[in-house]
Amino acid sequence: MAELHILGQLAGGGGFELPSLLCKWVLEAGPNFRLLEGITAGQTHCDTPNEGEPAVWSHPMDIHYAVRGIDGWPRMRLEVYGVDIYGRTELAGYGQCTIPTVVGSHDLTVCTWRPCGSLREQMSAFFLGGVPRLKHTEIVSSAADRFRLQTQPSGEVYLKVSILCKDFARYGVHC
Amino acid sequence: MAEGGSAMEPSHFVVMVTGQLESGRYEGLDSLYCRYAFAFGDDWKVVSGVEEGISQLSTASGSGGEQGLLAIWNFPVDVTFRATSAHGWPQMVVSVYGSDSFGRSDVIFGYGATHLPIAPGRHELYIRTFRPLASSLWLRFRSWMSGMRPEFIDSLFPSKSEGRDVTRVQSFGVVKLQLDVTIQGMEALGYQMPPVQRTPLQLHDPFLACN
Repeated sequence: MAELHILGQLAGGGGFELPSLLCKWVLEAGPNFRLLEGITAGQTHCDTPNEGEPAVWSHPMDIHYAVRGIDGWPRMRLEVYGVDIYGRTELAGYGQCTIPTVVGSHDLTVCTWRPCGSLREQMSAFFLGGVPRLKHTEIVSSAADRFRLQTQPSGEVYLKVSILCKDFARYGVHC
Repeated sequence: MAEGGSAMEPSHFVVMVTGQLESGRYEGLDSLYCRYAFAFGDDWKVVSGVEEGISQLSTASGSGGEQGLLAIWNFPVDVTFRATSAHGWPQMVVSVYGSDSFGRSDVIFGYGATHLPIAPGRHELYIRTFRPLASSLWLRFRSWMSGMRPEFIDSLFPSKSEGRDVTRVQSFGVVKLQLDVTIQGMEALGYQMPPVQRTPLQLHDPFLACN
């Protein structure tokens, strides 16, 4: 069976408004991808960078899949949270990215977004904090049900991903 | 020697990493030294070279040009790994220590980690470092007073992904690495080799720049 290695790190995030940032991540793959080793979900540490610098997470990933078919290629879902000056944890942004299918090292930038909410929710978030979040975060990585969701842009998440494929050529897969 | 191993039954590949721990940029700090170690999985073994090292203490004086003040270590790295699987690909863990503005020595300034490049060739890597913060404001004040900053008990903690959700850190500073990676026998195991990383074209003559 062919094997796929995903190595790399969740390097950091920048462009968010909140001073301290952390990120929750999940790697989702279809049924053709069977996890052999590694951790496919996690949460980074909370970093408070100096003013004007991006947050550094440097969260390592090392995931090993056995691959039966090429569809259902892994996809990463990201949720960025920030801690404001009062110590409250707030949503900073949602994002998703597909893991590259090309062998080699890649620097990825994921642009994130967050829901706006109604005018009333925006007012209350402005005065009291607590921006609206999604009830079902699955829609972050699915193409369904996004219609009529009003969002606003947020910061960027930086990923360093290296892809290694084993025995793909034996099954005639080009990647 | 290598041919003999692969002619029978290829079971492992060899990764050789040479290069240097070049410099660190920590604005406002004067004397710095850097420790490095490798963290790798169970399928990996060091066959030659040193697994860890401590550089000299370098002052950061005006040599960096527009990049700010750099502490130059120029510390050699030369290690060869043998592996049966790519899982657990080695990571280099660096920790930077030095003296703070009160003259206290061996204060931690930053931890960092990165995977070694998977592509053969010459690589320039930058590791942004971070240091853990004390959990409460009072402990933070006390550590500031005493100069005893919190450190990770496990020095390889930056290379692990578990247990991070309870850590609070502050990021500061960059370490620059320059590494050459050579890989032998990976293709014979069925791995598809990533393209070789070439040295970026140098557009200026370094001897002209530093008249």
